[in-house]
Amino acid sequence: MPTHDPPRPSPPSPRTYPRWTIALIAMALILHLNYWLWDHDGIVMGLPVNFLYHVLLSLLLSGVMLLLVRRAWPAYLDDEGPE
Amino acid sequence: MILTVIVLYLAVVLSVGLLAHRRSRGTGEDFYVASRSIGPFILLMTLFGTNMTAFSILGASGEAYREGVLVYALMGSSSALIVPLVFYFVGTRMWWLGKRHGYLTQVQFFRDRYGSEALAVGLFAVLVILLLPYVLIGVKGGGDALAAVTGGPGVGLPSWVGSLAVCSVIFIYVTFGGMRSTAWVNTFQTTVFMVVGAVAFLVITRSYGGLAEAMEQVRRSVPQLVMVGQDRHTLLTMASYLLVPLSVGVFPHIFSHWLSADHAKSFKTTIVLYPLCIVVVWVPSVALGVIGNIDHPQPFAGPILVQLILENSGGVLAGLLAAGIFAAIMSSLDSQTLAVGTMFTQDIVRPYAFGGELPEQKQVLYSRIFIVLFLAAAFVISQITTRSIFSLGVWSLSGYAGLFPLVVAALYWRRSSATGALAALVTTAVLWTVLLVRSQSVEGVYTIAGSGVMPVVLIVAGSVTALVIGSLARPALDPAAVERFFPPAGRKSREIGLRMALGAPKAGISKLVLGQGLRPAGWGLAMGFVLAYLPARRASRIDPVAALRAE
Repeated sequence: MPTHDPPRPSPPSPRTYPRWTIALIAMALILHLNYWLWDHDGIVMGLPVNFLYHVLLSLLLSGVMLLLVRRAWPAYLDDEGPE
Repeated sequence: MILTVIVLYLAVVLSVGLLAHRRSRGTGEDFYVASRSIGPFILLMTLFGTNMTAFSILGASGEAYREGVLVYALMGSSSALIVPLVFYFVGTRMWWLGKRHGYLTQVQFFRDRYGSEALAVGLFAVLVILLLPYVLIGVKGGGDALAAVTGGPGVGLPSWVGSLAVCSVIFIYVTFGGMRSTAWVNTFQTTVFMVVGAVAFLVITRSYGGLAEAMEQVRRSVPQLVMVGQDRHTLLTMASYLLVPLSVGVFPHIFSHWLSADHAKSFKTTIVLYPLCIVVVWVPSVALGVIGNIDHPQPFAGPILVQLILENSGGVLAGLLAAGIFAAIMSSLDSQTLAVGTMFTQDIVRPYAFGGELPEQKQVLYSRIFIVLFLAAAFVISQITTRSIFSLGVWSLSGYAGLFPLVVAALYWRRSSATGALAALVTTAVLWTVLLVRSQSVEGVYTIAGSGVMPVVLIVAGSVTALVIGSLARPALDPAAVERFFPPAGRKSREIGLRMALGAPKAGISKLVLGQGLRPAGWGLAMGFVLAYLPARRASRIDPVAALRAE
């Protein structure tokens, strides 16, 4: 147990992973199921609609991950002092 | 021409591997985890390359040829979502623990965390056994790819040539350079198969008058291939495929790459760019597989992607394609081989044959010997087995996914115990074996009672249930001993201190902490039951007449 608090670069977050991260991930999971485009056979930008949907979703996921590592990066990970 | 390109490619791979070896510091830690010095870019490329196998190129295009664009949704898209999340929640914390306690293998961590030898040995056995079919896919895939590119069965090179080439090259750079060579070579190989995929995609779609025109032709001839809504692929299949990529949280070869990172923040690049890498590799693979239907009505025997390349381009591209396939295969096989060598030495030889006392040079020597033996065994087995092992791939992943709850519990659930972990391990092993045996009597894709629910769901649900019940059935581990494996509590311990200072009774504090520990357990149980209930309900609704007619 460390007897002193490590210096923190940003205001300490109350939890290792804030609640909104869970909401964000839940949203991504729901979007992934893509129940609404299953039977569409249109072709947009050269790709079948539901293929394009998932490709765009993958691109969006990069943004989601960016939010996670920027806004919800657990502080203890960057603390590399001796135990 | 094709052969020249491949030989050149293998020569470059070897030189990159040997160049990395020159940076070696000669220590055990250097051999196993590159002295924990790998930066963000190489970490991304090597982790991604390790996860992409022969399946991601040959298998995905073949599946897309048969099933259509749905394959991207089921496999590419679910990896793009789950894999970076696993790196974020599990990878970084494993890295942190590895650095803090000097771990080199998963078994070392689990042995420490739960203090159970039975769990350590059992886990070692299951991890290695599940890796075998996965490794065989690579060795066999290399042989098949080379045979197909050089002209197919009877005309081209015999399959053993490619398998032997793959094994020999890996043997050289992995035994020499360990983790650093593996990471460097993987970075090169990942670049190669990304570029080759893009080039193949451009060349082939152009010869069909562009992507839009090609897809239009497919829609006219086989419309269901451009839709996701096929009968068999219900919402349940879509949801259950999300569990398959959880396996990356358990792969021994991914674990050792995690440990090789220099800082936690090096993971950020990998986490953010992983979905983009998936797009770069999977979109060409799936799209070309679908387009294959234009000139080749189903069924088509042999790799459709190789066929398209041979028809639409010259020898250089075919050679590059083979190099790209080799790259995808070898960038997984090298990491797997290194991981097995590390595990045999660190988890079995060192603790059991030498009581933990083994000089570093000797450790590395033993690892090299195991790497040679393992590759030789993989080559021999790949030559004598005749059955298609491609289909075993998803089984290998499902087994690893079944162990994922164990990893999560070890990292996030203080109350989990050795009994729970062992129960989850045994449950996974038993369910995996039973379902695998049952699947042998079913044509095509096996789902639970034909419901669309993949076996992985039952395995994960069983594992979670066993873990929770087993853990709660035994008294908790000593909290002081467990605390070593969790991030410094910071705020929480301050909160508790404050409450105690204000006169909160000890019982109240215990209740608070216990409640917080039990909540995830409750969620786990609830999830397990829902996951198990859904297929059960579906199964009970099957119309017996329709089901029998389907036989």
